[in-house]
Amino acid sequence: MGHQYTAVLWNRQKKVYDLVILTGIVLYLVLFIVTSLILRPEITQETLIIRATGSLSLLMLHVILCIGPLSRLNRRFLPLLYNRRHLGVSMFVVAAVHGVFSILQFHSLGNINPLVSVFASNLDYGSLHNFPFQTLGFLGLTIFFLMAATSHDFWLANLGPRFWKVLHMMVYAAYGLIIMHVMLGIVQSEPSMMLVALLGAGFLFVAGVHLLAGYRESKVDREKGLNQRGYVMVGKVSHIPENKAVTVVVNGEKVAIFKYDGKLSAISNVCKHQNGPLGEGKIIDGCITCPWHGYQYLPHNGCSPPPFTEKVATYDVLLEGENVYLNPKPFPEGTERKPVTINKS
Amino acid sequence: MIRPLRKRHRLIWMALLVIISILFIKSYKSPVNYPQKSGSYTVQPSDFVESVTAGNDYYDAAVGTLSSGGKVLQLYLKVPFRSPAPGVYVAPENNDNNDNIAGYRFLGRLNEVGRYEFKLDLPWDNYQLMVYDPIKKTRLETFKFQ
Repeated sequence: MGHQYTAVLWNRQKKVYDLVILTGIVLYLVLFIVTSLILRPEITQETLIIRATGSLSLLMLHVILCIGPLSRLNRRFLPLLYNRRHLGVSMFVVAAVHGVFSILQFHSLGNINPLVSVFASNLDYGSLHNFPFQTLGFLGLTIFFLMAATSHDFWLANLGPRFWKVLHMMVYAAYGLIIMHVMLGIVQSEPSMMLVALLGAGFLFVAGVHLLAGYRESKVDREKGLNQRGYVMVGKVSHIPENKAVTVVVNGEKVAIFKYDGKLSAISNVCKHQNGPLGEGKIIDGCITCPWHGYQYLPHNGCSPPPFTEKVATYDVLLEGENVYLNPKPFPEGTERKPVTINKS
Repeated sequence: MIRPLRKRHRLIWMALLVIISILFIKSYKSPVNYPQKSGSYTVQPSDFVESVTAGNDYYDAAVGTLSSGGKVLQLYLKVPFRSPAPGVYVAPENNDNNDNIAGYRFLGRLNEVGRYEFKLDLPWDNYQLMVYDPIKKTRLETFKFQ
């Protein structure tokens, strides 16, 4: 976190992440270009650039869309989530190169404006097999542009979390448009069973991991009943890992119960930054640290350490023998609650 | 992620899975039936009872007449056209309207360098063969046979 404005807060992890992205992009492009020139030496430079950047951006889009659900299914993928927006912006840049070269090659030498030509050169919108597939790519790229342009926290703060989230969830509409853009492009220009199968497998994998993660979470989202004193049973204290948390659902949302330094504290599971799952984070330097972007909160009062001002709700915890219970009534955000001490006996 | 968002994600992906799968299968089952490039000609020049040819540094073309009376266009493309959708079209000899190709008949696309062969089953006695780009609405080449 930073309390003074800088465009990008660089740290070692972000630099390594971006270096891996750049290396991957260069390696893919070199491999694609060399392979294409060996297999099809007659291919033109423009076609080579269009195909290399188009296939690379499609691959990157699949990776980006898989990171979220894979991180929810397996915590080992969390490091990929940390700087996903840089991967998203990189994907947009590669896709933009594909789009610009396609428009230059296919629409710039006609007698109408190239952007008008994208939508007007083929008016067979009523046909599926002859549908003007380039328009789908153009619309998808427009959504990616809006997302890339507003990806910085500056826009999150100024547009508001609700509008920002709606805007960025349009990536799913863009993904649908891009899948059909590629599919129709394949069947109209170069029918290939292998390409169709690869595209279908990629789509099924992305949809599959999203639905699997959603199914798992829908089971976790079921609320536990209250005991006679109005508390929710959390579980055995020994089942909570040190400096980590378990979560329970109360009043429709998760609460994270952390174990640290022989104590227990409970705060809302929802990070104020981008609704990240605090309960999947860990305690670093005495602060609960969000696994998504590193926002931090003190476990006993739910406040970010000074000079930061974010606050989340706190809860009371009860420990009886080995059993941990949670009072489902939230305290106002930033309210200090005395941690429960765990007896070593 | 908060619970309403998790629920919205589930619904979006269920809808995407159904919609994209249907469109995917429908578009695959109705591919464009363009004649495709072949590695070699199926008809040998010796099979023609007569033929006319055209050519330059970019292509060699021949229209041959078979003993059955049918005609075949054989085209060897040496250099790819720098145009988005070059295709071989045939039209009546007097149709020079490049903005309206309703009277043109599409034979096949010229995607890359190589040999192409098209059967000419035409209702016209006098016709013209050309390479035309429907996206640019431009005639890229008109074959001058001799």
